[in-house]
Amino acid sequence: MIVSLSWKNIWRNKGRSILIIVAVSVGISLGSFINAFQWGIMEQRINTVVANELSHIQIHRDDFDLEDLSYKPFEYEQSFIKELESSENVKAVSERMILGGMVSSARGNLPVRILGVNPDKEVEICNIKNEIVEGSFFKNPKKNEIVIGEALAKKLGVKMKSKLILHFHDEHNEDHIGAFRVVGIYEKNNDQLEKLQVYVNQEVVQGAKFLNDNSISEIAVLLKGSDFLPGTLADLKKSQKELKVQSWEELMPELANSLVMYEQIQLVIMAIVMLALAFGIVNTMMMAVLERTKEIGMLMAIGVKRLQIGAMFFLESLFLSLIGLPFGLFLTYLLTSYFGAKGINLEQFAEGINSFGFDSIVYPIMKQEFYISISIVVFFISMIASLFPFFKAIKQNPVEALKTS
Amino acid sequence: MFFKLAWRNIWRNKTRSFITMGLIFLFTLQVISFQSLKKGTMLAVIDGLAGGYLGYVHVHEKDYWDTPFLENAMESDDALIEQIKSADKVDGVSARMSTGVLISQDSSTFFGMLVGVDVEDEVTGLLEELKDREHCFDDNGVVVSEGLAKKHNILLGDTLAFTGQGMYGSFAADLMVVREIMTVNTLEMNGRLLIVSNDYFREAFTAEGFTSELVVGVEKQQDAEKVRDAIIAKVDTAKYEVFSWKELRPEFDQMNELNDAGNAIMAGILYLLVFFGFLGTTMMMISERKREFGVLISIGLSKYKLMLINFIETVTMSVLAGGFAFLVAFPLIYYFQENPVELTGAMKQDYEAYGMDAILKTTVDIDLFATNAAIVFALAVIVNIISAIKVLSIRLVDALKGN
Amino acid sequence: MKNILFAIAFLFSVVSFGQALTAKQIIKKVDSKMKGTSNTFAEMKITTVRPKWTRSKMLKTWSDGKDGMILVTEPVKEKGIVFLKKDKEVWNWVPNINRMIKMPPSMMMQSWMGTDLKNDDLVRQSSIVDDYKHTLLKDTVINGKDCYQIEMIPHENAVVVWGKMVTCVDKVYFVQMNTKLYDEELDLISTMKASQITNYQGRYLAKRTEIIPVKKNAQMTVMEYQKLDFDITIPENFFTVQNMKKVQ
Repeated sequence: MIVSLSWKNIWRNKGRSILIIVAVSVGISLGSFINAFQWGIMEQRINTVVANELSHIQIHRDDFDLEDLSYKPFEYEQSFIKELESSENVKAVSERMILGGMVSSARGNLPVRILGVNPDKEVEICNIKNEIVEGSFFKNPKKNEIVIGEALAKKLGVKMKSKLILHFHDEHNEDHIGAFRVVGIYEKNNDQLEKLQVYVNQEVVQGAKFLNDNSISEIAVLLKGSDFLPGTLADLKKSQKELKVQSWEELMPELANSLVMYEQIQLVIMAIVMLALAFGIVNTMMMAVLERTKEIGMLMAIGVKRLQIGAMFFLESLFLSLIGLPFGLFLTYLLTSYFGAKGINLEQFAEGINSFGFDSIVYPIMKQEFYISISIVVFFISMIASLFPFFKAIKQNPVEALKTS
Repeated sequence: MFFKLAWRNIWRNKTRSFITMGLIFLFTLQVISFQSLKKGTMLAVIDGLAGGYLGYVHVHEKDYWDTPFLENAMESDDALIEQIKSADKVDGVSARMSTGVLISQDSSTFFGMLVGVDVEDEVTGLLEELKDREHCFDDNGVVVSEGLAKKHNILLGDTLAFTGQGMYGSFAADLMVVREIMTVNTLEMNGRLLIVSNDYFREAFTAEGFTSELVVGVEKQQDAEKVRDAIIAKVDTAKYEVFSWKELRPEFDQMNELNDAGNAIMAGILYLLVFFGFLGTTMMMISERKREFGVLISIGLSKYKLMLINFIETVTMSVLAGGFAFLVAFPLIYYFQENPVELTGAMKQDYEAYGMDAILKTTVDIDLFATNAAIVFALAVIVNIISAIKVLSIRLVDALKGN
Repeated sequence: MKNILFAIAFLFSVVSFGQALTAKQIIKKVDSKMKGTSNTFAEMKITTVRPKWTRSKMLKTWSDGKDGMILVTEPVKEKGIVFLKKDKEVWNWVPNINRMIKMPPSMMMQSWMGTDLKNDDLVRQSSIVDDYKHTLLKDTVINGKDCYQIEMIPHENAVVVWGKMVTCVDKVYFVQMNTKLYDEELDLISTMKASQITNYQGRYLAKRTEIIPVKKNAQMTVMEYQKLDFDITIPENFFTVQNMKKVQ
């Protein structure tokens, strides 16, 4: 009975009720949106790293060091690669050579990280093909072609078809030098990376004119989804004991850690927003109790117990919040769908963000699990907030209440 | 007279007033604390990065920062230093030398960045961690950054040989003794830096009479750009370039701007919510007092005067509540500014991976306070306008009837 | 040492009259002065000229056509520093810190001892005959001497950063008197000017060479022979790392 009474009461004062419902909806949707936004940034960063830089798993010689650019080749069986490629969880595999060296033009020279790649395989495993802004990602795998970053081209004063002299050491510290023509220029939104990373044909570097050797220094593996990562990683670590098998999380622990940090921050942000909301609800409902002292008095006079009256206010408050919840979630859905497709351009807040490895357009993402966790949080906070009017209502003095006229 | 009425109204129903003021109080407190925390932490990060090594403002020979080689250093000029010091809000100037060197150590050869500092007058906190600042730089003493030392197994007392290009095309080569190993605040620098005294540097590189960089100290972090502009007004900009840390390392500027943007958005959302709450409370207050208002109107109080009284009530309450919030917040914020909270565990590692101190810090920033106060006031005004509309719509008869 | 001596060609054979030479033949003649030479010893003065200062160093150099050794004898602060070019590597001995340093590849493009030469110039040798396509341009006069003018465009695979070289060769002595180096956009990057053709034991070479980078004004490097001996005896194991410490 109290329940139906509470329900009817809500609709008696439409203005106030709608205000609260709207406030709750807006609060939930905005709070969630912030989270979706931040999550969008995280996802993007991770995707960039996995899809374009590290892939899911990398295999190196056991003395490999991410900072060290010296050539560390290891021998491998083609059969191993074939097996990997045909494995059902694996999307692409690319063998690479990584060498440190110098690149020179008539106008200057810079130290570089040289990636000797197989163009057909490389385009499968990362996004390089779409990053090419001029020219192409190699035309002839047998030729001395080089693909460089836009920032490097600018710094060296070269352009498409320019000649660059590439100079590098092999693992015996022997010098190799060659002339290469620029066939492609890429853009990665990261000036530092663009200046550092150059691509050449693996076949050429392995050829007689240079290393005269079929070994490579890195095998990168891209899986069909990150769910396959733990399993595949464990398998590879077991089967390739002499080599160093690492996931992107192990190669870039700071990124993996930021993920964890973000998840924690999200809860905090949600809590803050909900807290603010709770203040509002509590406040409004407390006022409601005050406003309706006469009504409370009458109810008490006809025999309704204090506890029941308290419960009535409790339920009113709870209902209002809970009605706001689905609206809030729906609003969240709308916002994240719209912006998730359209993207938000950060450039107006921070010009130049492009050059530091961040895409200036962010796509907010709302994960399914969040809808659930948000609902839970809202429920709890509403419960707690509703306790305030409960207690207030209980304490009303019937005599005083009736006197109010 | 209206004010007295308004004032009495507020205290007539204490519960009601306190509930409203409580809302505003808690809210304002929350918003200020949050903003203060985020901004403060960011300021601490910048302080660690810029204040712990880079410096907030630099003066160099023109075009030096583009190609920061020793050969592009400026000729030392005391008059220039005096000019800089005379600029407003400048808190000291110190000279630095800088060049890349090749370090030869037993069987390995590697590059490092050799930096000469003014041992006594160094303006940043670079030398603060040193245990024995005076004797570190005696003769050919060198302080090696911790990352570099770890990478190449350099120990205290080791002798490091370096070669490099000096001024006038001279070949610089000497032996240095490692007197201390120190952690430098920036990850990048921590893996590269070797610090010697300016005197030693200049002698080794035949660079007496030259200075690579003049590092300018500022009283407060936020003064950096004003200081830069003040210096630009005083020196010959055809000959020298003056940069603030934002121009020296634009990526830190980006981080700062993003943080500020994020703050503003969060604050905006919170204010929106408090607005709803405040509005709801005020509206209800009016509903509750309909009868009272009806009586007042019927004895001749014009609706407009009623509105005015209401206005004063609302605004007074928000000012009181908000003001109280500031009063409460201030000591708390001040406390945390002086005693920042240290982070532990995983979060600590993350911060340090980026070369930052793992702390949470707040900031007593007048701008912050002022902006928030203004917003609270503005909100009060808007709420009032809306509720005023409601007051206007009170129909006398209904009001008196108690509906 | 070949690139340091690049603009200083020695005349080896009789100059032939009355034959119209092709561009390639002319360059071959210039180049042949450097090929098949015996061991050489030289004392050189290298002066670095900059807008605000000028400093000189004195060097002793030895070469067997393949490897080379440079000993710095002046100024006092740098006396005793030795560079060894052997195979494709450059070593550096610095006596006052008692260290033998192998020059890392990333340093090869940096300036050698503050001059406008690069470390790489000590080592890298591109063949002016094989690496380029030669075209004879109109004759010209340099320092009052008649010269052939030859345009040289590097071959596709030549390990050379230049887009083009234009060189003026003295018709009598086949010495490169003036060489302009251009990048691939055909902007002038650097000029080499030779002068004071002198007879060194029957071979005619320019005593003085200036290297003038075009991007900066009042900046150049000057190389001058003080002494040049040919067919000297160089003991075995001369061009070794160990010998760097002993060479005088």
